[in-house]
Amino acid sequence: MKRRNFLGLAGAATATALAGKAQAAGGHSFDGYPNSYGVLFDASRCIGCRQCEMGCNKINSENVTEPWTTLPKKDPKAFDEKGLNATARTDASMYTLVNKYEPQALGGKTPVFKKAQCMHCKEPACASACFVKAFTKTPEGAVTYNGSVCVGCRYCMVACPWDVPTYEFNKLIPYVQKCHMCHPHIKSGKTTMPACVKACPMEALTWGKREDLIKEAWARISSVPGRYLPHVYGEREMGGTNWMYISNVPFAQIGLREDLGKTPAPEMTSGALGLVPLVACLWPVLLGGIWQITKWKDERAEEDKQKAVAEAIAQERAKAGK
Amino acid sequence: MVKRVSRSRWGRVFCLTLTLSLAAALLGAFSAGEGGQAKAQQPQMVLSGTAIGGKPGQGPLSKAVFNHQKHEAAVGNCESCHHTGSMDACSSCHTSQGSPEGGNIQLSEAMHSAQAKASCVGCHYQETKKKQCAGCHQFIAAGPKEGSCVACHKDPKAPAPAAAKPAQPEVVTIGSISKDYQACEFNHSSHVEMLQDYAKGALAKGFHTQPDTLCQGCHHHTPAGVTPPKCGTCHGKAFQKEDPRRPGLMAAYHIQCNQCHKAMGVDSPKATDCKTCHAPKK
Amino acid sequence: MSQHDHGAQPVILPPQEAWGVIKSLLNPVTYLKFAKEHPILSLIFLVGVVVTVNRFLIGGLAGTTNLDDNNPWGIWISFDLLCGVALAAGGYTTTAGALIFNIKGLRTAVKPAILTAFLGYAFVVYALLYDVGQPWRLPYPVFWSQGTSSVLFEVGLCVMLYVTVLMIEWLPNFTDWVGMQKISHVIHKCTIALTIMGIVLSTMHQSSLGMLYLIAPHKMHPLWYSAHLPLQFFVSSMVAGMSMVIFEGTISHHYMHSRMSPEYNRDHDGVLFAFAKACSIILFGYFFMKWVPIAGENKWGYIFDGKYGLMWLIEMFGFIAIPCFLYAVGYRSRSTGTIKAAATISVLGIVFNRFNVSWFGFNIHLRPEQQYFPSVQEVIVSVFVVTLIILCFRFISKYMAIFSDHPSYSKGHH
Repeated sequence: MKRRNFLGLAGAATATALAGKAQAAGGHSFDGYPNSYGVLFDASRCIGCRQCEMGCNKINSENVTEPWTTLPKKDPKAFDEKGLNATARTDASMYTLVNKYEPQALGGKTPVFKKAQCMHCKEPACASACFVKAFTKTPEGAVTYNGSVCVGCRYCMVACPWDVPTYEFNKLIPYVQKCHMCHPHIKSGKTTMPACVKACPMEALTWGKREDLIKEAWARISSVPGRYLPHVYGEREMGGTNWMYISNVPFAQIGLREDLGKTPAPEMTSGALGLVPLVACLWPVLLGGIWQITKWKDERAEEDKQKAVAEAIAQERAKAGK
Repeated sequence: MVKRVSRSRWGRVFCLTLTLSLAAALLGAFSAGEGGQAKAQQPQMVLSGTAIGGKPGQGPLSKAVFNHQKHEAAVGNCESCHHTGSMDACSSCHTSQGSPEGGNIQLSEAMHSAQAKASCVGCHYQETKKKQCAGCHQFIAAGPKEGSCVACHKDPKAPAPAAAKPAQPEVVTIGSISKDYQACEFNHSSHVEMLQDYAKGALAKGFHTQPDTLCQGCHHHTPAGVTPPKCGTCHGKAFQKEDPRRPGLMAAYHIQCNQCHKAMGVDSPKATDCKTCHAPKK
Repeated sequence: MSQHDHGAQPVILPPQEAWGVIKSLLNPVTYLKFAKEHPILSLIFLVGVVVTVNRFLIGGLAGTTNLDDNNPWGIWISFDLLCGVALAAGGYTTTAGALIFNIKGLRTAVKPAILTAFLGYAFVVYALLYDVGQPWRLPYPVFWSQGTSSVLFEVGLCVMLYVTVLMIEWLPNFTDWVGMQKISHVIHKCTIALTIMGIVLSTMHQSSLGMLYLIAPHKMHPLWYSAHLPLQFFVSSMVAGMSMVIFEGTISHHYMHSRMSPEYNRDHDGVLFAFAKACSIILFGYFFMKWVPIAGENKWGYIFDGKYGLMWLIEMFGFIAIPCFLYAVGYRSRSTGTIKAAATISVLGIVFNRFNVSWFGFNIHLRPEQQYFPSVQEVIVSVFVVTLIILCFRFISKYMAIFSDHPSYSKGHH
């Protein structure tokens, strides 16, 4: 797609997004940005060549301006397939990583690879958790991070169900580092699609509109029944993600949690947060009332006491007077 | 209802699976003639085919021919097909409309279900999972294909198709990125010979009905007997709007080579060994 | 400390001399003298300073903590923030009891409780400076870019406002001391408004600390994760606050006896009994409150399953049921010793609960070798912060009228 086309679409998406945002704020369901882009990963195609990692490092280490979108340049030799394993995770020096698994489903010896990066949730946990709005779900699909406001509380890392955001713990002025689906690079025209997708020789990564990707995923699943598991990971997980997976082995066996549920993360706290204004309104009235009552009670008690004393004195005096 | 078609001196009984109506029809002179033919090729049996459009054998397809002897030898045990342990005809339980005894599975399902293990199609599908077949067959869905009906439902009298021999290149030079790397020399003939070697068994021969069926594994969408176009004719840029399912040229090559090698257990060259195909320029 | 005369009024320096004390704080000699008298405290202080320098100027977070990408929150959140805020809840519970419910015997507990709460919250904020990556941006969420959908935003806003409220509530102690009674007078007029604000803000952020974890059900053990976390945190904070007032009052009475007026000494046991009764009732309710999500979400199976089940049972019975019982017994038999024991167990129980939620029962999906354990330096910072609180408490209660009424009030009201 031409860049102008993409930006045009993005503009249109923004307009619809504003309507969507208002809806989300109103506590109604938010069905995600229409026409947003995403990536479909096909585990049966990935050969573990790490070209995606290399492509990612290249585009994000050359001619980038912001420190929170800059990765340290790596020697291409560092991307050796021998370095692949099932336990490594992304850190602040990389946005993506290929893991190698030997799933039980294929006898425990045949390797299956999975690329890990930000899932770009439709309703991101990180964005809802951030107390300075550093994360943005763009109408184009990416979840981006703006380090210029980041305090470094790392609640985003706590909130993310996939443990995606990483932190520059070793720096004195640290930032969160996280895949941005090449959003800034696509916007600036540096590339037409995420660098990892472009680098993949197997098209194990497919770039397109989320809705089309879901159709494509199901088309692949149904074209040769039994070849894939009938499940598009990310279609519904945590309310849906823009990065999705299909696989020929159970997702749990390639490091993708299947116990996350379908509830978008923001919904998990919005109910409780909604009660906060209630407390702020109800408590002062209630406590003020209690204070008034106890004060009145004490005053009454004091009055009664003084009355009784006065009466007793009057009686005594009356007696004495008699 | 069972119609005994063949007899052996030792009292071995082979049963014909037929539906009620088919059995009645077989009493006719036509079926008697067929039976005679079958007797001549003992113990080959002729199963009546579909009843689509009327009388058995008069539908759009001929009756299916089943060579019991060959299958028995290949399978090795009777239970693979006679899954109940009984040697009764399939149709005794799996009637044409289905009956409770047969789990309400009709005869056609019992023959054609791709998922069942004891059905013809299901068993043959399992065979395609073997390494020497999986390279091509991994992309082919289970179940009867339109063109493969005639493999079983063939008219014995029909003349064998003319063996067309499409021209085959010895070596295909793939030079799409020859600017950066040496062009890849793909040894076409050795691949073809390898596949032909794998597919020389009776089973493969029986189902690869056209001489260039084997070619379809790589040259998909190219009709038989037609010289295939270059890959790049259709595969261009990736993620095209018109057909998002069609891989770009780079992926088309890599998917074709790597997926096939992986499925067939070809470990050398490794999928991540770039230089074997893309030698650096001198 | 040598003095054990219950009848003597503590000496409060006149304002002129107060300024002299403040000036002496700028003189290094004061500290050297202090160091000579209290070598252990000084050593902790010194080591704390070294780690502080390492944290901010040399090693950064990686050089001081065991935090990593899987474990973004460590003991500075589990202990300094969660426990710190819960244990500083004495401020709002005591003021609510004394000023809103007008429980007479609690009056003497108000000033120490406010001081503890103020110092507690101030140092929670101080400890957060160590934990966040860019501490100079700590005001950002309130003043620069408000992420209103975040629970942490609510926590931050409430804590900031509450520290301010506590500071104002505490301020008369200082202004009385330095002879600015006019300011004290104005603040005293706002007492009820400040108290109500304090309770509202405390309710909100105490519960919000539990709410923080609602977003991560997939990382927490089901025995501790529940939609009731905010409620549980709020209710347990009341117990934490009151137990801490008892706990800390006991220590103060031991070390600060000479600073206490006869009225303070006389009422001390009354405070104990009032809080013991309240704690017993609240703990009783809290005990059953903790069963509700277990029954409601059918989590019975987890209770007898492995170490987490055992930890949950220890928390429920050892740290909730037992102190509940001890408080009741102590109240009925008027036994201060039993109540003090119950308070100590309750305080430990709150720490155990907050650790279970945010540390032991958190990130259980990680492999054992990925699990978090604090580094020595992290522990040092936490100890350092507690030491700073103690030093400040000592200093303030040594000079200002915390355990007595300021002499300027003796003629007039109160």
